[in-house]
Amino acid sequence: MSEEVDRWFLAEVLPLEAALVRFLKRHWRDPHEIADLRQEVYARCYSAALNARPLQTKPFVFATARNLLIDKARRRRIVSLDLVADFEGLNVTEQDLSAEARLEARDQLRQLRRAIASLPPRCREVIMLRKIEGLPQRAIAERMGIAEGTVETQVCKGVKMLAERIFGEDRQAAARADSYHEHANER
Amino acid sequence: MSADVEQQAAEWVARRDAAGLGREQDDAFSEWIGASIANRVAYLRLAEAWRLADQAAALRPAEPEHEARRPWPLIAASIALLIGFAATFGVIVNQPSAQSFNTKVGERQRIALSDGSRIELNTQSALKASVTSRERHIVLARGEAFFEVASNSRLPFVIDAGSKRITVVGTKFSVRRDQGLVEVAVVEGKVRIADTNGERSESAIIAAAGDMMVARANQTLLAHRGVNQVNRETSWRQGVLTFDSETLASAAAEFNRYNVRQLVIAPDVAGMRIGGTFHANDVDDFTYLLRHGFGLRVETDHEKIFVKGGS
Repeated sequence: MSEEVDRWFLAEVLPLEAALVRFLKRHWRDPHEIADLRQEVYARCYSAALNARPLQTKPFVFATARNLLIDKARRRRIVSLDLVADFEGLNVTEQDLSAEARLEARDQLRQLRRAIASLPPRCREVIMLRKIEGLPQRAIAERMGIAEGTVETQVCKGVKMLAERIFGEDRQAAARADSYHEHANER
Repeated sequence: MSADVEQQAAEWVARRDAAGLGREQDDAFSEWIGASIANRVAYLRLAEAWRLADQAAALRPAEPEHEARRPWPLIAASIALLIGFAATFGVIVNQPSAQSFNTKVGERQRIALSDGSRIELNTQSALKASVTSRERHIVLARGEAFFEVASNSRLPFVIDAGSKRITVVGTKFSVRRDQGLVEVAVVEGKVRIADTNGERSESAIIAAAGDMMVARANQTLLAHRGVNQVNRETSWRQGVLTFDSETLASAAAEFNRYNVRQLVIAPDVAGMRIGGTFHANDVDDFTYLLRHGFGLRVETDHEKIFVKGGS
């Protein structure tokens, strides 16, 4: 496990999460298993990248997802033939591959604000004090008159929900791919 | 099953956040994250979300609030040290009024401001500083500068660079203006970047250590490049240019910022990738490498150096 693969995973795989989750949902019937499938796709991609980094991340991630779904469906065949929505037509479409992953900085901020606003009240208060006011967890406990352990529990809950909203399907499709690439090539 | 892994990962993020841990070693954590790739990817994902949520600090109003005072003992210490160091170089000490600084091609200048902040001005740059008991205001008219800002939560340090306004409480970072482009590289702490006209929090972003921001007009890109990369970007402070598989054309453009004798690269070799560390003012060192290391042809007239493919 290397820092280089970590960086690749953060910079190139994670931003695909919204498109990946959409793909998984379209082809897998049980919505409760989507998060597990997503994590397994990540683990497979990461371990493959330890040996050799794929040239093109996006097709590689979707091919991995597709293979995982087929493996799973085959293994469960006896239980139900109905798990995969369309076993034959399980193809990665143009649309999957073009779904743009990156947001411009100010869209990110807008999205983050929405993500924080959508948290349950107590969790939201903790996250706002931590991230907007910059208070350490101990100071938040004092301010809110709750135990430090409770603050930690809320952070734990909050980080899971924020990740869903920052990377996942919940985020707005406000991507501006072109302006991103323009800047990336600027220098 | 992986719901448990995610729960554990979230608990580690929360626990490390409570303990104020960054990347430091922690045996129990190392053991857990090393135990499986599933653990590792789950943690990476959540820790990244948690890091990205730091952006939310931009939602705060720009003026510091009554109780939002934060201690920056480390920065204060390093500033005191560096001033002592700088003094032996005979730097200019700015009086508390507006003052202008300019550097010529290949020149660098260290500036000590009366509030204890320090600025290093890179080649071909111009900057105006106004430091009083009521404001700390810098205008970067052109070029590039590295800032070490003395902590003062009641008096924000404001830098205008073209269309962008950068506000800091205490930190280390560089700002570069190149025609319509503004670049900010943060080495330590956090800075807030907004548009010069209008301090709407909608348009503000926060850049933290290891972040680089690139902006043109009202488009902004923020990328986490890591502290090492950012340090490389600010290597000019040592009078050194560091390239890591850059094209020959962009390396030459960097050299040309520092030297009157300009490099002209022929199109057939412009895309060649090169790496290495060079003294910014020593083009000859660089062309020697191109000639002997890569077999390129180098021809010189009195003001230009032409580099062409070998025959």
